[in-house]
Amino acid sequence: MLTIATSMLGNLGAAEDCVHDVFVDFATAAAELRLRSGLRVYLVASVANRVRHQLRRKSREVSLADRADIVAPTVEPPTQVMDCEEEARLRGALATFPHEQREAIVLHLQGQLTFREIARQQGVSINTVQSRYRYGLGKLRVLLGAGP
Amino acid sequence: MRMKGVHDTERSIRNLRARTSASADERILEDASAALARSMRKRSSQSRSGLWKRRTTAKSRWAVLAAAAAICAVVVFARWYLTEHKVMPSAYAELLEAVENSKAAEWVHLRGEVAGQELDGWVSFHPLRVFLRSNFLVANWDSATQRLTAYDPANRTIRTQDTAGTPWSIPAVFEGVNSFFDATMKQIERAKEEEGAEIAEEKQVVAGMRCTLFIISGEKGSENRIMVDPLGKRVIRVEMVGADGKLIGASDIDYPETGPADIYALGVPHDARVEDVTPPADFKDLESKSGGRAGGVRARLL
Repeated sequence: MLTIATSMLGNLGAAEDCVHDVFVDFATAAAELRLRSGLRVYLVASVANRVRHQLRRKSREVSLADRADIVAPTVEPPTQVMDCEEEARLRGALATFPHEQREAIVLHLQGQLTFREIARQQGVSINTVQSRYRYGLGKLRVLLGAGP
Repeated sequence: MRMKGVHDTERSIRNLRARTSASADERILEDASAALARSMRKRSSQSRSGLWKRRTTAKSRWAVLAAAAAICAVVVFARWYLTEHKVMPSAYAELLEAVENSKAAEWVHLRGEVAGQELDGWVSFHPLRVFLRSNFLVANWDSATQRLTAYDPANRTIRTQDTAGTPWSIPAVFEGVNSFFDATMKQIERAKEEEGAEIAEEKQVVAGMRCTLFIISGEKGSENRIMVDPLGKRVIRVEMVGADGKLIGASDIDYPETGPADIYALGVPHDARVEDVTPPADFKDLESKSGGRAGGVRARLL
């Protein structure tokens, strides 16, 4: 959930706040909840909703200016450098995408939601979600392929 | 480092990981726990304060039926506990062990929903005593005295009556509901006779607790689902599922050390009017001597 929020917000602090709020809301309403889908889908969708709400409220595109505070995985130094570089480029490229496109990619690849579940979540057709996903990946390849 | 293909790009995105700090984890856990505790307190107080507010359908036949069903559910559960079982192998033996352990409890508290009506029931087994609090009825039945005491908030009246010999005579609708529970009892009995042949067993997680689920299949596709705490080895939830897969009723079960002393302990106002329609002792004698012919007279007296 934190990975998804971070990918969509580009800021670890904001992502932590988002996940925090999702869990608190979940705990508050847990006794009343009637889940139509699985718990994982519910929680991932809650993160996506909260991110969308946060972005709308602030009416601003989140830049990756403060992406430096994203904690890198603990791995051996040479790999870490390489992974951090690639990770930073990937996050940077994702941050340039329109939110709906970024959301389709992140929810499908990181949230493991099906295109149908994402379509229901975004209130659009499956074809639209698939197009966003396909064009998004193509764009990512171009952006990352042009790198060093 | 260049991306070589779509699959590489997808893999790279999947592998992106954000790591949280211990302090953030702690903050989330603490705040979520506090929210959960507040939610449970609120729900509990709403449940108590809304007890009489929700009696909007008290006079409908369905509501009476549901209340009857709730009482039957408790009594049937108690009967099931009290039934003498033979030890059988397989799943039935495990279920039997759980029932025996549960039976050792001083009190059993059931909380759930039957036919759309909320139910709170307390059962003590030695001797059998049953307390019930539903949305619009508070009742107590004692097997030793055979007396049923019921409070109807609509007219703020507590009515005490004798149920000896006519255990389901209170409203006639009990009979219809009772037949449903008789069918349930037959399922259990049949499963017992066939050495667990119709009892399936699987592991499940209910409300965060690992439990063993026993499924007793009915003749027409209905099911009784009995969940057992594998550590305490006691029944913690009973569900009745119809042939269409819909939940008919469910009860969560816990084991308090003490139960209610009387119906006043369940929120019945102390200034409620009391109507005791139990026949006097000499009338009972007359009734037994006349082979029950005095029943008509008794009905008029009531």
